[in-house]
Amino acid sequence: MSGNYDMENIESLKKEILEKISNAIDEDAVEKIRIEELGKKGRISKLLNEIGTLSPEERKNIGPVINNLKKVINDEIQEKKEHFINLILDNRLLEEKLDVTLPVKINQNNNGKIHPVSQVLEEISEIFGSLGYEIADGPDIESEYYNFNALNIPESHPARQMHDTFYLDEYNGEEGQSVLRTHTSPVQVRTMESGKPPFKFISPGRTYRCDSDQTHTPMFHQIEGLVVDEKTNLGHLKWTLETFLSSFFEIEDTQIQMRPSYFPFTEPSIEIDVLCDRSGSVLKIGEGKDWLEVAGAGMVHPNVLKAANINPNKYQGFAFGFGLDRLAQLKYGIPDLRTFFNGDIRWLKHYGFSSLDIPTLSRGLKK
Amino acid sequence: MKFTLPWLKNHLETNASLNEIANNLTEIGLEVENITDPTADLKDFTVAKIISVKKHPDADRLQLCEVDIGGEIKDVVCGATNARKNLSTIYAPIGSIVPKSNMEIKKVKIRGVESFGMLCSAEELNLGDDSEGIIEIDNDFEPGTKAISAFSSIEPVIEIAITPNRPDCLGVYGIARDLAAKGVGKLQEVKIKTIKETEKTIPVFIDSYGKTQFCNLFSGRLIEGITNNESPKWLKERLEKIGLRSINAIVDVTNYITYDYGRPLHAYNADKIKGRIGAKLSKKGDKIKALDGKEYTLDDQTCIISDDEKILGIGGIIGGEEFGSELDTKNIFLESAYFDPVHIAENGRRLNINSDARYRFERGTDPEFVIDGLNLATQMIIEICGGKPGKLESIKKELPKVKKIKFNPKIIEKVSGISIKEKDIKKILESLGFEVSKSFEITIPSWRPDVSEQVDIVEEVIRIYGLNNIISSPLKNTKQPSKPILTDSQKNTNLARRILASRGLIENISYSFVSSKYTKLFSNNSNSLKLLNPISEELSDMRTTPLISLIDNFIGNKKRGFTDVGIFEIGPGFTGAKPGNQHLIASGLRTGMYKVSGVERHWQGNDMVDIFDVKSDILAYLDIVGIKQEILEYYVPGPKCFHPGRSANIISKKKKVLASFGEIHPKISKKLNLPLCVGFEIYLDDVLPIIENNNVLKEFNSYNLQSVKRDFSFDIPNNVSAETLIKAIRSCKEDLIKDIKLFDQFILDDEKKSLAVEITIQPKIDTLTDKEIDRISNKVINSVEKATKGNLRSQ
Repeated sequence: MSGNYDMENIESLKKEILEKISNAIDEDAVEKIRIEELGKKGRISKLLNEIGTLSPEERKNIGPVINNLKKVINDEIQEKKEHFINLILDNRLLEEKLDVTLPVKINQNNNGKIHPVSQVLEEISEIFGSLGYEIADGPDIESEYYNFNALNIPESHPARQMHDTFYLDEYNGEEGQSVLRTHTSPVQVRTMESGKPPFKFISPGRTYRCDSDQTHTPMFHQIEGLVVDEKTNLGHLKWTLETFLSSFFEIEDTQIQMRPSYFPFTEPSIEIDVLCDRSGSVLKIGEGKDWLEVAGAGMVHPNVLKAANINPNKYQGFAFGFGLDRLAQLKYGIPDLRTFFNGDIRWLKHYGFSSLDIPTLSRGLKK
Repeated sequence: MKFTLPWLKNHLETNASLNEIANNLTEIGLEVENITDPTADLKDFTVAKIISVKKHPDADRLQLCEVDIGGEIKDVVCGATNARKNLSTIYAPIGSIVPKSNMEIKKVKIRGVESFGMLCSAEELNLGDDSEGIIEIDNDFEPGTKAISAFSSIEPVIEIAITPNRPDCLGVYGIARDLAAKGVGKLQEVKIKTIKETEKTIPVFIDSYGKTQFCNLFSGRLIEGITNNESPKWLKERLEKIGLRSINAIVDVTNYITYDYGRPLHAYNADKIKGRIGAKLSKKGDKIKALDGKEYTLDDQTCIISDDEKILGIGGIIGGEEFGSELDTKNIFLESAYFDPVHIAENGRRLNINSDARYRFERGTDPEFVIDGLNLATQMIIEICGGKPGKLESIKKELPKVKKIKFNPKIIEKVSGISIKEKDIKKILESLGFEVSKSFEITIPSWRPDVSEQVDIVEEVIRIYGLNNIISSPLKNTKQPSKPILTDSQKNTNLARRILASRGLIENISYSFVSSKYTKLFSNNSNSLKLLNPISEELSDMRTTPLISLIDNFIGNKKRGFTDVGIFEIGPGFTGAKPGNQHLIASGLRTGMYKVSGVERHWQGNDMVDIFDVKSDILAYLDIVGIKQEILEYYVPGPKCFHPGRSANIISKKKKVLASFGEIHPKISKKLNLPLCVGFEIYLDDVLPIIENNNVLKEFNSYNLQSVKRDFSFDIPNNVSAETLIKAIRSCKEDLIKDIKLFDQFILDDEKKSLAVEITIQPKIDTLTDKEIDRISNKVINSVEKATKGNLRSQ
């Protein structure tokens, strides 16, 4: 073996080309080397072309060496070229910088809010739903009959005085004048009238009284519950309210205190206090030594059952009522009732809930 | 109802502490609302004597006092004008709590001068209403003496809330009776002395008018030769402690019996009575000037007290101004009567007079105590004012009957879940004054008008036995619900609420009544639905839609500086004054830049709201509940409150208006000074039935063949709606047209505009040939050109 195909020559050629590549200053220079060495007239191409002039023996030995040389050089050229392309890209990308701290548009889900009263109603519906209660609705404008008489509130009852009840200039025959319902109890009568016992439902809604100060607004929300069957008693009422309050405030074994009271539509009538702690700056439910009134309740008065065509000798049951707004105030620490209804968006953004914050028993009934 | 502890102890022999008494009161349903106990409140306070007074160097109205608090001198800064040398007063040391305000006294610098404690006014100590200056006490008390010993008649005052069913507890005696039944002491018997009567009298009468019940018992007595004067100290103080003003001895005695036994009385100046005195119904137009200084004109059904010539008072409610007892009154007629509760309630309400007498009569007084009360008061008057009592006069109509009921003691367990021994039941009832026979026939005491049924007896037993004995017992939920808890309407409401909130809108809940200035602007007819007794002018009319409330809320927010607002409310809109005359409406309002695409100024740009923001709010909801756009039609204009050219009603196939939207009418905006506002309403009650009909889950089809998209551009007259064009394409009834998108609008000139649509054709079985695509395209073009009187824009 001699001349160009001398192993030493090949090795020095390789070294020379590699050095040339390594010294190239840009992509064009690399391309120039490629043409010079690997192009049709390039040195390596020439070696390959002339390999046919060798003896078969030599060809067998030298062929792979030349091919290897071509591959090594080719790879090196490609790599070098890519190096220069990347270099240019990297430089360009540095020019393309954006200010990532610019503010984005706020997700509409975050802008929108659910009113705390709506949220709390859904929370309560979850709890009573799981206890097998249905949810009954009724009209805001009621007749005196459904708002009063059918609930054992006779003509001379103080609650019927003008300063409590909003009246409308409309008469409904024997049912009397139209009023804005002063409680959601009329729904009890209407629901019982249109069905058959046993009954187990809650009735939430808007209620109205001619009263306005820091703790009273002329419109507020009540939620009432009613269970009527053949043997439901005060013990069941106590259990129901304890269970509800425990679940609603997420407190284990809520302690309640029952006090005798008076509502025309229940007998015995009871007021419900829940244990609370007033010592700190924030009222805490479920601990401490004080009692906080949260609900009115009692056994449904036989006259109310009679008014709904239910035999009071056979059926009995309990009813209870909470202020929905007040429950929201207690659970979420909202101080002033009047702020609930004036649409101040600062308040609503502060106390409102995300539309994605759907209360369920499995996820929990808190924010 | 207020009373002092010693007053209670007049009727109740007990060693129970104030706290025990209070707890027991609440436990038996006489809820304690407030206790003021000066003994406890004043335990840290002492008598102090001012030994020198200097002016404060930096404050004209303050003085620097050196006070002797008993072997120690303190510097106290005081603002009272009556602070002077040698005055004895009450000193509150550092760390004590001021009874009135519950504030702790701390060492403070007042305008640069340190003050070690405070000198107190009577009001601050809860010892009276006097807040002018510090309290002045007798110099006999040595400095350092406990404050409490400086006040002879310090008594705890208890205030309880009496429910309307318990008129028997509107007197201290009744409260004592309830406490005794609970086991807190022994009830003292009422001792009524025999009155030594003269024969002198004024005859009494009750004039009956048909069946109207108004006065069932009228009694009274002439008392001659009295010396009316200021009440004795004990009586004066007792009344003042419970917040009553002492007038004169006669009036004070009648008030005292009212609060002691719940028995209202009235004393007339007998010299002004001509002939007989009695109760009758008024004649229409009768007038009387009452003790409250007001003149009342009566109708023809008010019980009045009158003599043979004139009206002396309104029965059971208020006496006449001219006929009351004054200091110079010599002879009085003392009246004690039973008035019908319903009658008094109606009169009181109609005349709008609140008096202690009305309060008791309308709740029901004890008919058996009318004469006893009269005799007790007579006795007191003779003791205090002297005088000679005349003959007792009394006339009776039908009084409430003594009630007897058969009681089944087992009911107690059925209602309460706890079993109480029969002998205990009997004991409780008897201690409350019920008579109980062996067979549990129960005679109800005359002072308990509220008890008439078995459940009432149950309540009596349970409340004395103790509600805290009720045992919590699970109400078994025998089966899991097999259907949703919520009704379809409730589900729909909840869903609508969350959809709208997820679109950036903030939920409002507002009063159902609004100012008439809004209803006038919003309603189609001029007769708005008014409350007869609104709480204020601003809340006088029932709203026809929550949109009105939203406008009002927006105006409030605008005043606070917020002009880009997006709010909604789901609630009733009222159509009439009968029960059920209401719709459930979801209303929304977007103002300023509160767009769907962004809610405020932003560096990427944001525009003012337009009707397409609110249209998309509606369509987002309708789409999620499964109502497709294809079944909807748009009727222009929408409701009157919107811009006639920029509003619409969205109508279902059955021509029901499901929703409406638009720009708030410029006239309204101008009147209310609103910026650009767009609003919407969704009539949830009318949407609901359509949701139910469409609520069928269709099978999923996946076509593997690639769909083909074609764009068409049409030049059509300006007054032809986009909807017309889209409907024309739909009307081709080409099954393969899967989607139509209008992606460009371009106004060409005053008459023509160009609309561009993209149509997606989805082959189902075979790939489409060019011929087939051309056929569909031509059909689309023909249909659109015909329907819109326009033409395909040449490429």
